[in-house]
Amino acid sequence: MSCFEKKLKKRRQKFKSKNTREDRLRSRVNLTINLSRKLREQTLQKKRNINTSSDQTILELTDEQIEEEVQNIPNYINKMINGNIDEQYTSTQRIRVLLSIEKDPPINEILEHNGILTTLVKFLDYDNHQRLQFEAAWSLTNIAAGLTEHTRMVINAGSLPAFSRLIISKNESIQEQSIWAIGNIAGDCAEFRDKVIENGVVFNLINIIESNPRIEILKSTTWALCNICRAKPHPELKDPNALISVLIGLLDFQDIKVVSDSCWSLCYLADGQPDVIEYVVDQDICPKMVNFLKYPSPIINTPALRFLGNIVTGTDEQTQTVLNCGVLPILFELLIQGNTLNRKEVCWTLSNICAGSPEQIQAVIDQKFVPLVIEILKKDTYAVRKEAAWTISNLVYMGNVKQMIYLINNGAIDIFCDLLSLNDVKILNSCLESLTKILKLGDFFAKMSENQVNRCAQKIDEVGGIEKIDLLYKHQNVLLSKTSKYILDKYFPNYVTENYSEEED
Amino acid sequence: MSEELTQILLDAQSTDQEKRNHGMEMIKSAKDNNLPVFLVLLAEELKSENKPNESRQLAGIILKNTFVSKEEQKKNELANVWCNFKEDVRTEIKQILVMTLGSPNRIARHTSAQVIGAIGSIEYLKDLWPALFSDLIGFMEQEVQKGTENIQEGVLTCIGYLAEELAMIEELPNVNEILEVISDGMTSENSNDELRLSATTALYNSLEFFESAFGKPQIRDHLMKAMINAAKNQNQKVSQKGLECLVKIAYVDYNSLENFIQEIYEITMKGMTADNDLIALQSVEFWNTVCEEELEIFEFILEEEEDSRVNKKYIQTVSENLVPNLCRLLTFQEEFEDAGWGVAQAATVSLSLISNLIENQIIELTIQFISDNIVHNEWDHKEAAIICLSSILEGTDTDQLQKVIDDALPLLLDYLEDDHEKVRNSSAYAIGRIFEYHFEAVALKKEVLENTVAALLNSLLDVPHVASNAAWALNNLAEANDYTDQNTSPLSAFFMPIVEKLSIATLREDGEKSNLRFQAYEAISATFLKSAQDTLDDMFLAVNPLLERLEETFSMELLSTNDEILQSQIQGSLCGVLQFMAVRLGKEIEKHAERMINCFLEVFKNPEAVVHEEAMMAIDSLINALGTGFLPYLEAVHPYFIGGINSHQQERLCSLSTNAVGDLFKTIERQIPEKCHSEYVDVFLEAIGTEEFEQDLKPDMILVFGDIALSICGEFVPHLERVTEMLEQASTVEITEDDEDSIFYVQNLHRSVLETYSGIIQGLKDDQKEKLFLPYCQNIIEFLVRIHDCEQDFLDDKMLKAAAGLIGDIVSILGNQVKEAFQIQPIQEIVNACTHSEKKLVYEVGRWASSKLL
Repeated sequence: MSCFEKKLKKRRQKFKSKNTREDRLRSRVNLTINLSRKLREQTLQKKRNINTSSDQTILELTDEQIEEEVQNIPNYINKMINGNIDEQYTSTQRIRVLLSIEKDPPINEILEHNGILTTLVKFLDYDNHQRLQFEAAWSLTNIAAGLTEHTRMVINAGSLPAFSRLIISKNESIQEQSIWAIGNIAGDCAEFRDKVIENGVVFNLINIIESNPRIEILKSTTWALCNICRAKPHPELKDPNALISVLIGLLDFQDIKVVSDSCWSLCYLADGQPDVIEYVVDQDICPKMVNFLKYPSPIINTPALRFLGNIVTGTDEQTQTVLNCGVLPILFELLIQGNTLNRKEVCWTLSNICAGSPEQIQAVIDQKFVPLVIEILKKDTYAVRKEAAWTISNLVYMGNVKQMIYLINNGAIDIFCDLLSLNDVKILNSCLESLTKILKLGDFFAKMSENQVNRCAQKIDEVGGIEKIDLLYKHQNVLLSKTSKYILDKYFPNYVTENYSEEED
Repeated sequence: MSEELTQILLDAQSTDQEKRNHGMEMIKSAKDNNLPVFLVLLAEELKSENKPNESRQLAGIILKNTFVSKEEQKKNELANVWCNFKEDVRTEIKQILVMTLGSPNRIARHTSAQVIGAIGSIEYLKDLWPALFSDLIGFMEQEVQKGTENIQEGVLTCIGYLAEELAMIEELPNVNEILEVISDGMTSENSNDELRLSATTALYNSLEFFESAFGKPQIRDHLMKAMINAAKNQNQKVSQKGLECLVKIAYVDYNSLENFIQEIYEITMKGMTADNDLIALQSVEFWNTVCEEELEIFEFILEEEEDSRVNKKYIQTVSENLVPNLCRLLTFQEEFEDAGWGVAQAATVSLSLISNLIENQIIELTIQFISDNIVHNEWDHKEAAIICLSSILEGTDTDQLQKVIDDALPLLLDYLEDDHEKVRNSSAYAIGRIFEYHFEAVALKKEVLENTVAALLNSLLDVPHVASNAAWALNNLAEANDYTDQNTSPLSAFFMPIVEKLSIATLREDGEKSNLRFQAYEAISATFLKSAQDTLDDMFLAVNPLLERLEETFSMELLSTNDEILQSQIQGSLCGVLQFMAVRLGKEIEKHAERMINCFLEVFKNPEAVVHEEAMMAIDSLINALGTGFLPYLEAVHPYFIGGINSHQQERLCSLSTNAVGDLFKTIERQIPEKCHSEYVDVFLEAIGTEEFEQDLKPDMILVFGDIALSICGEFVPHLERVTEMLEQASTVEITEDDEDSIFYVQNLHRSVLETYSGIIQGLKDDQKEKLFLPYCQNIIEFLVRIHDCEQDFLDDKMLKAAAGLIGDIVSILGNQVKEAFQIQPIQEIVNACTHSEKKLVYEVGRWASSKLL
């Protein structure tokens, strides 16, 4: 039965339709299974004890109390707007308690009252009543941690200038709360992050770090900075180098979380930014980062690896700086022992080194990476293989004759033909280009040999590469199709393409 | 010899029984004797112009039927018989058949076309006749040169049959050539009606194959014009086929309607007023298809799926004129129910599709028709109005319809006692639909509700057709609102009468007609499931009589297959009712538990497999209702659990048994005998590792290990190594194919693994054995990183929650021993993503896990 006929049949069943036996059975099965899922959910939640928070400042409310408190919201908000300072304080605290309920805080019930946000923001300026200031900051943080829409409302109420000022408040509770608020807002999306920056927050955060604060404050500050650096497009900073210098300074800090966040921040900043890369290389932090690679936990070694990977996307000189730090043997170890994410990053880094000068390529070869990468291409996960594919094709594409011969002797042709089954147009294109280059070399040697046979072409034939190239010839991607056709026409003139339909145009 | 064959073939169709038997026997023995030779003779018979039509036609049909079957397997066997013939035999038969396509005799031509349709498609699929189409077309051109008059019609008819037979393949060869021949046949000046009809039929059958050709505007417009001209043709058959093409093209390529919609609109509007029912029907079907396409486009937009179609909202544009026309067609109904698919039925479906598209706007377009006709003297007008009302309920808002329903409902209640059965039937159906979509319009008025329920209960005594709809309406009434948390409800007052009357209806002798018994039991189930607390005492009293009924089924006399079906149906329905009673009554059910269990186990002896699923669900509901109270029955039920889990051929039973065992461990902590643990662990591990089990069953099986571990705590240690080994394996399964099913499967699998690890570590912790979990942390971290690296879609809310839950579990239980290892970016990001979720539970778990990670 064709799809169309099935559709007609279904349409006919719609006439005066009622539930069938099968419908009913199915819905009962679903009901039964859903009941069990709920039960499992409840059991785990109970074990996790999520409802009893470890934060002792959060008052624990029973369900009845919550219901009562929710009824009181209009009353509290009225007092916040119209009451005296004491009423304002106690009401704001009530609202904050409600907003701190872990399970489904009544954000909407609170936000539906006009003026609540502007009032809370106004309280942020009450420097003479710091307890109220603190409650307001906490309330706003919790609202901003909700949906993006809520975050936006908090921004639109004009909270950013106040928070930007409060992050350098002398009161540490208020300061920390405000840093959390800023971090949450900046972490939501690039748009909000930019607004945070516009309010001069970065400068103040740098000042905090330079003021040698308590470790907790330092932790939340680096966390907030990391959120600011993260989203793309890159943040537009007035003085990026000032931030970078501070971050570099933090790399020597003894707290691992601070180091990790600083590392990640540098990573995000250097990603695809030539100016930043130039600056950080000049600051001589490559040796330190290479050293971090040896750290036994991904919390440090992963961002370091990503950072170095970003550097080697730069010029040959910058890549050389990294190589001079003795990075290759460490990468080799990571490639053998690292987790999936790190293996992927190593391959990515290698692929960029292999896009460098012949000497740099030779360094990779001398480190005996080629057999290892080929091994990875055979059996690793797809994500890792993809990067490894770039490594090997860059090697061929950028390598000189001697290096190419080495690669061919180490099974490069087999691997490229294998890769032709992948479903990634970019990789396929680079494989075809590499194969073209190999075939050209083969031709060159063929002309000098007695029988004039292109041994590379022969090898491709042996491993079933032609059929795959022929398939790519029919690929809808024009470039793939053209390159394939070029290879087939030039190196396999005797091969007859199969069943190709007439519609060539 | 040839005369003998002709005689045999004529005998086989004789009105004289004896002659006929003789003829059939001769044919059979000739087939058995030497099939290839006999088939060649049949082909010759078909070809011979001097033979009678009857023998020629039968010769062709026997030839065709030798290789055709509706059953897939049989069809393959027969195809192989043909392919195993020697090539010269096949070639000879094919040549004769192809020659016959040009016969001046229409019957011979068409029969031959049909035979080639069967044989040619077999050969084409087996790659024995790759040039099939170009051969046919080549032959046609050659014959046309010679002046063979009918050859075009013969070949096009043949192509039509072939396209129909080959519908399951993706593409045809030589599409452009075929298209040219078809379009030539449809549009050429030399065409006659017969040729046009065969060309149009060929186009209809092969339309899907021309999708790529439709990408070229020139070809598309040419074809669209050809179809439109066919639809306008004076010849009714050509016109009908042309309309069918338009119906199909709306489905195959909605976009191509754009330049022609005005013209098609005019044709179909005219078609709806035509005397010819079939033409009117196709005219309605065209708009049905457009409706379905536009609804689908709309859904695609909602789900943000890619779609090449651009919604032109044709229905919106034409509805003002279309809807009144459709209403008028509603009065063209047949006198009796089940008259089949006709223009009135199509118009009914059309109206409900349109109401989904234009929503409240449909009310003003139909209100006049409804109010004019619902009080009409003629039954057909009255019924049409009722049907019209029930068709516009889906897309409309209750407050907009309130008045219409207020006016119509008293009439509908009257009509439940109308003289005409069809009016009663449609009224009951309409009330059911009102409950389904606009319950609030009725429920808030006590008196209206009372009258409606009373009338429906009365209708339960009507003929099965009407009673079945009344039961269905009561089902919808019960399902419209969930009152389980409330002390009382507007329906509580009717609880007992409804249950009693439905219960009487289930005992009607004619209960199997129109599914009456089934619908009545379903309505009872729904009433039990959703009723308020104040009905529970009455419900409890109903357990005993219903159980007795189930017990009675075990001694039913089974004299025929029908009896067996009846027994299974009743058992299935009663299991369903009792399941819901257990859900509602909870611990209260304990007094009946033993009898219930015995009954359900007895149901397993029924050879009909579907009822086992019902029984398993009923048992599951008892587990949840009784908790530890279920333990005394475990030994008796245990073998059925094991059997159910192992029933890989019956997927749903397997899934339900898995679920029941999971519930068993969830509700009974630590008290399940130790030997059961290992037995379940073994049977699930075995099933998970076996390919015969449908892979979609496996995630749920994995989850049961979490339930077991949580239940038996430290006693899980002996199984720890084997189970975690399986989990590790499952965690490395990758998405191999880029289709939704395979992604969905891996997603479920991975989520189950996460949740199961959570169950294990929480269980171990309860007996202070959490240290045993340490060795698995490294693998779990890698697993989490892999999950983190997956596509965004893969990491949906449920997956995030399971991952963050596990992260929180491990870090909070194992503390500083592992904390640092978990403080890595990907894991932080998973937890952070949770805290950005809009789902409350996900957000909660994210917040909790994030606090543990600090």
